[in-house]
Amino acid sequence: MSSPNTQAAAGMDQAALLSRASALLQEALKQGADEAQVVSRGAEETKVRYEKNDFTCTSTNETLTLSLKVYKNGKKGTASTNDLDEGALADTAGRALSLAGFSIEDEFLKLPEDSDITEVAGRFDPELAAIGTEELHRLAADFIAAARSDGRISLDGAQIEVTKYCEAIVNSNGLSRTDAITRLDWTVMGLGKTETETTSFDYMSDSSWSWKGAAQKSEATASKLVASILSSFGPKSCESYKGHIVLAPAVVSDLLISPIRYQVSGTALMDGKSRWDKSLGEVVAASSFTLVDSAHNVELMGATPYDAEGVATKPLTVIENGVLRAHLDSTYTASHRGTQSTGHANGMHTIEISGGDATRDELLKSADQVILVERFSGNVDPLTGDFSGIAKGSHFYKNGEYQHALTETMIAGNVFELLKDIKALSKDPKPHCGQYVAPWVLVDGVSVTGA
Amino acid sequence: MRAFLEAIVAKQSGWVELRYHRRLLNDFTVQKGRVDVANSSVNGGVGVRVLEGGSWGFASTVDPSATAIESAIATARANAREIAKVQAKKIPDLPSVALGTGEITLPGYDELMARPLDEKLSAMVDMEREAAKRAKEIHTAMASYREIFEDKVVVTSDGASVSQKLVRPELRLVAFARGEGEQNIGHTSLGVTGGWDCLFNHHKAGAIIEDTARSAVDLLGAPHLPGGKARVILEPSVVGLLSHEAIGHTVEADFVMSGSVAAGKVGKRVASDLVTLCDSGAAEFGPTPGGLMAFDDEGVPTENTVIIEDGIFRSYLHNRESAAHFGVSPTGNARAWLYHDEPLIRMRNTYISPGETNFEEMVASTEDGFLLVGAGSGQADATGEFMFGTDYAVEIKNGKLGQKFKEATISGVAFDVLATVDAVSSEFKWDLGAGYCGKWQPAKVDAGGPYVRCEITLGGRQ
Repeated sequence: MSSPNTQAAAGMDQAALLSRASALLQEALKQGADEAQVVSRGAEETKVRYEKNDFTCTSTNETLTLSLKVYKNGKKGTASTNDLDEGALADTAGRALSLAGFSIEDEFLKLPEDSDITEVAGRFDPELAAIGTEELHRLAADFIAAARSDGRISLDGAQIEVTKYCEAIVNSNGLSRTDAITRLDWTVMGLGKTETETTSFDYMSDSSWSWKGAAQKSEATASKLVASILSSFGPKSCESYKGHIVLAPAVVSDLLISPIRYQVSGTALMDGKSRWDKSLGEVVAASSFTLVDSAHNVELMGATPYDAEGVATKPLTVIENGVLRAHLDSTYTASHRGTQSTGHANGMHTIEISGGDATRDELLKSADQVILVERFSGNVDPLTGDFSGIAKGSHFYKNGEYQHALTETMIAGNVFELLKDIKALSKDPKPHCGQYVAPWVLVDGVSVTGA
Repeated sequence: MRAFLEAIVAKQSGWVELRYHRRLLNDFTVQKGRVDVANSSVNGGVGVRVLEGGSWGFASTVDPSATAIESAIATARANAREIAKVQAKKIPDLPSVALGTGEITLPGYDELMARPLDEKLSAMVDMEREAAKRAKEIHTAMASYREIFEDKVVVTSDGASVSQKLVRPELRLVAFARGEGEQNIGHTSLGVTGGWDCLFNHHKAGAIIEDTARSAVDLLGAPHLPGGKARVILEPSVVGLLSHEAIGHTVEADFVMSGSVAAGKVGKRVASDLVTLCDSGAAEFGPTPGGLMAFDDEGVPTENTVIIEDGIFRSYLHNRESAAHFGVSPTGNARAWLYHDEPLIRMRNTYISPGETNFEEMVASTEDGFLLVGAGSGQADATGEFMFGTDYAVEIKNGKLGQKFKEATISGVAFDVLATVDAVSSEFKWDLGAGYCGKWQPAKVDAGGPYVRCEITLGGRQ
């Protein structure tokens, strides 16, 4: 193993981060803040970039942020800096307090109290933290070779990146947290090209907390991209219809998740924007649909012991067998709504949607005509649930038989109607982008517009 | 800072680029009478790029001291040596080109820096309050303001030495309306490169409030658009989005070299002869667009790059490396979002040039179609296939505007759509200045144009 990068890592010492966060907290209180919170984050990343079918650049970056929130006379101000000068702390505290000075009084401002948290182990890998650029390039070369294993594949871009990240959170209620993680992220985007045809582009990405197994996992990502691109040659349009489509796990994440996140968020609830404000215990989806925020599942990259303001997280069932079971709150929204924080100051951490009883192939055979949507390029309005966009890399099935790849096909509908119109889920949920797990989902009532 | 960086570069061998970047970002969000965001953030550092042995290496540091910068240069050199082991083709030395020198502060920077923050927050409080009470259907309004002060210095070992200061203020006003069993959002977004008064050039505050509230309420109860091919008139923000998403990305030279549909198109007809499409670092036809800049992040002076002229393809968008590859001059399109980002080929202000018809004539001569209003988000493909959302559509029947429809997502194949253009209006407007473009890293861009009539696919309900 080659030596790790030797560049100074200004933000990587947890003790130093905690010390600097505490110093800024004291400075804010000294300058007159009634309450204050400081989040200090440092990261060192090395990434290898591939473009135009060749490696193009390797970069090593360090980032550091000190973010301060102050409350004074019931008013809020925030300021942040990455300036290392000693004078930066006083300047940052001064800016936050100045903003609070002319802000508007808010009776619900509140900082969390300290509480016990559950450790979420397995997110820091000393081996990955020590990985040098030589090993990273070897991994990147194998990843790219797998993605170019077929001569028809042209890669628009790819990136593989190792990050060492740590943070400290302190507040004037005595809350103090430190955390450190490592992660390896890879992304690849490509298209198929022959003398007569260029396919749509496709992309895949995944992540790992650790070095062990990363080579196999990244090559699997590359192989999946190759298979997807090769299946999209020779596309044709289809007739317009209203009816069934099958959502691949990636599309379940892209299409269904943002409206659900929005409707259960404390912010939307306290402002009267959520249609689910009085729906706890009521049916919001088909009985086959269960969604859990598994905040401590280290198989998923969003796993974390606490949220963005240091409040302990816990696994939370949001929708169970179609029934809404939870709203999500930060300390502020909970104060506003008279509830308790659920540890969601930064939204859901991970999302797991349970599988059903069918196989993917059975879903595709369960309607006269059906589109398998592999990727959704479009817009979803989280407020209304209306969506419209292109079904990318998708395939048309008729009477259970595969017909052809699709081009220029648009789908439109409403997510909240789809949730209630789920006909079946596949029994083998798959991870997507490291943070989600979802099965293939057969839904009805979607408008499909062919060219 | 310029002299300081020049002194460090002078001690280095080979090609070295140092880019100091300090960003001050102030932002406010007011909603339901409370201040959700009152924030001021400072983020700065130095990005280092080297071209060594035919390979790029990059590193950055938050610490702008000579010691830290020299350490980052050493790391960038080590990265270049390491990537050379897996790189197939060496990058030739960059040819000599005209590079910028000197210091420039774009208009608005000093004025906006001097304007007190409490005045800016107060303006948002007023706008939110006024929007919220504009109609009984509006239950929530939100006003947000952001200003991004950019201080950049770019010094290269082959002669670039520029300092550039600019500011980009943005405003967003959103109204949430509730009708029978449904909700709807109306919004207005503005962004410029310039001062406070520039931000309100297109609209006065009263008009922004009125437009936002009306668009939230008017679409309550509106039907969904029917899907299928249609003749449409695109308003300037939608023309800007079409220019940016559907054409602009496919003509970025790095994307061309990866196999985009624009490869091999130079000199060929790709659009109706009514179409002239450009990307400029300057203010063409209208003042203070949101992507204005005098130099790019390689120190190359920006220009107006004509991509399509009277329907004929003329140029890709270049950085120094791609320009050398194609044997042309760089176009000033190398941009980096923050100090720790490498400069990539990005758009600036992308537009279709105005024509001779006016909007009223265009509507009057349309027998059956839709006017598409308000640009949403969008994506384009290597094939030129694009998709983007618009806020709403207005039916045109027998030359007259009629019913409004919501949820108007459109798609098509870029050059095919441009070939169907049969009318281009004389009006011109920059209208995407509040927008951000994503390509590995964000970039502030603007886009706009005249009203344009063409044929497109509407992704509505069956």
